[in-house]
Amino acid sequence: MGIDLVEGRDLYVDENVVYMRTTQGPRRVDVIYRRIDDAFIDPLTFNPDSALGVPGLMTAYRAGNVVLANAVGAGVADDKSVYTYVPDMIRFYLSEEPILKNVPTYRCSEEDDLKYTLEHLSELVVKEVHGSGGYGMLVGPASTKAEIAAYAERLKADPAGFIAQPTLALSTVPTYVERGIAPRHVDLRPFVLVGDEVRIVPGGLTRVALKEGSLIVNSSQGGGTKDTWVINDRPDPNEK
Amino acid sequence: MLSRTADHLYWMSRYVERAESLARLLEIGHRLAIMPGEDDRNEWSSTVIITRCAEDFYNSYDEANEANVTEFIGLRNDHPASIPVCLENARTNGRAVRVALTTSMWECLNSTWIDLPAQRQKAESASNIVDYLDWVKERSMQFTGATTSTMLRRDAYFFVMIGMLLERADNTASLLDVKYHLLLPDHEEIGGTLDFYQWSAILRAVTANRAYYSLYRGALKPWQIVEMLTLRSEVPRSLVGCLGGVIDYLGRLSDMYGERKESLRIANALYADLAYCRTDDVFKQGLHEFLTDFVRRNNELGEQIQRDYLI
Repeated sequence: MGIDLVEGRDLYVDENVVYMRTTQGPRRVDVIYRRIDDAFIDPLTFNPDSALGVPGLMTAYRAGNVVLANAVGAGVADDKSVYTYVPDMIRFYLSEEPILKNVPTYRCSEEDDLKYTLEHLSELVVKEVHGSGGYGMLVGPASTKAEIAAYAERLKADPAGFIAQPTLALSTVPTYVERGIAPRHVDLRPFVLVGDEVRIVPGGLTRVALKEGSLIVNSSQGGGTKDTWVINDRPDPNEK
Repeated sequence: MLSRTADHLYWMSRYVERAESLARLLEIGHRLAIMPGEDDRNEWSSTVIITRCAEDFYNSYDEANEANVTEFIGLRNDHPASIPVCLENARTNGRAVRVALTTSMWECLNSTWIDLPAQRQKAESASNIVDYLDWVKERSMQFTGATTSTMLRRDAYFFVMIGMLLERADNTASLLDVKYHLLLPDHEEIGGTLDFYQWSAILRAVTANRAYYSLYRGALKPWQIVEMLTLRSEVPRSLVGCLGGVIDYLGRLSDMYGERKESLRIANALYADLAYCRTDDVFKQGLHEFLTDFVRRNNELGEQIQRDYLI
């Protein structure tokens, strides 16, 4: 995509403007897609011990000289219970009906949903609202009775900390594993750039669960990636 | 290109080249050690001086002898003049910029690193040390081959080559300087048998014995060996040969970036001094002084390249 993969030390801030150190001298940076937690992003503003961040980055950000994606504090949108409100947000802000339907999601903070979830644990996927990376979740159909019982206790102790969804049937693709070719579950993450117009990046991230039967595709838990092919039925206007 | 990427590329090839050169240095020691002669020889202490890590050496050992120096350079991994440290550093630098390398280059660095422990273990017995040194040289040459035959001719390639050539020039100067530190015992004459063997070992260590005979024919003459390894541009490891490559790649970098930097000026000045230098001038100045001066200017060039592009 022609985007440089940088570390904190590749960037510096001068007069509230962010620059990248290149072999052709400093190059101004307008947008940073960052993969570092808020606390480590700028040692002058947050954790002073951070060696990962860029000193002065937040000052440049406040001066409007650089866009951070995702913005500091945006982690609140990662709360999985926010997802359940997205259709309402669309109706409220856009006065439109959502085109893509949500996966039915149960908010365990609500009594009825909690009751339903507890009764159907063996069919559902239950996730912590603050969780990520496929950690701390229960995949009902793939769990033992003891695991389900233990998870039910966690759920009852803090219902607002969980949401539940029906187990989705992920597609499988042939995957090269130790004993040859075998089916493994995959999901696809498309990337959408929203600016003056909405563009879908050609391609995407296909994640694959490398353990047999597993639905957890997260790379932090041994998931892998696969090449993604986008088949065009119309000629690409960028191609001559 | 990110400065950090260029920096990793530059140091990656410097370390590969340095590993090869250390192998060549140890080879000189081993060649000299098997020559007949008296007890008062000092090929191993001169080897230690050339590594520029004499202090590290004498912190661990009392005496510079075959076993100690071989262990120090060939096997240990706690100081910068160690072959394993260089190979490891090369791979670490390469790994940080893996996508800037071709598969062949990365495979070469990585498999060298994977095979290193086994090779090192084999080399612990003295009779295998030559095989080990051959292996190190072979891996370095494979890396150079992979680089020149697969990499796009763009800035990344130029940085790899500049690092390699600067390091090679430095190493040729050091290898030649071995001769300065190799004192001849009192009863040995300059131009005598031992003197001849010493020069011949240096020539062999840079794989230039055939080249010598095709350039000069006739018997080995020290001033011709010096001329060949410093001032003959046809010789790929000569000082002027290496610097010719450096100005070429720095020039191509300047063309690509549309900007001439101080490092290009310094490199051209150093190259011109070598290109127009006469063999007599080298000996008038004194070989050791000439080499010391070259190493200093070569280092300054490296530092300027660092400032111009790598930080």
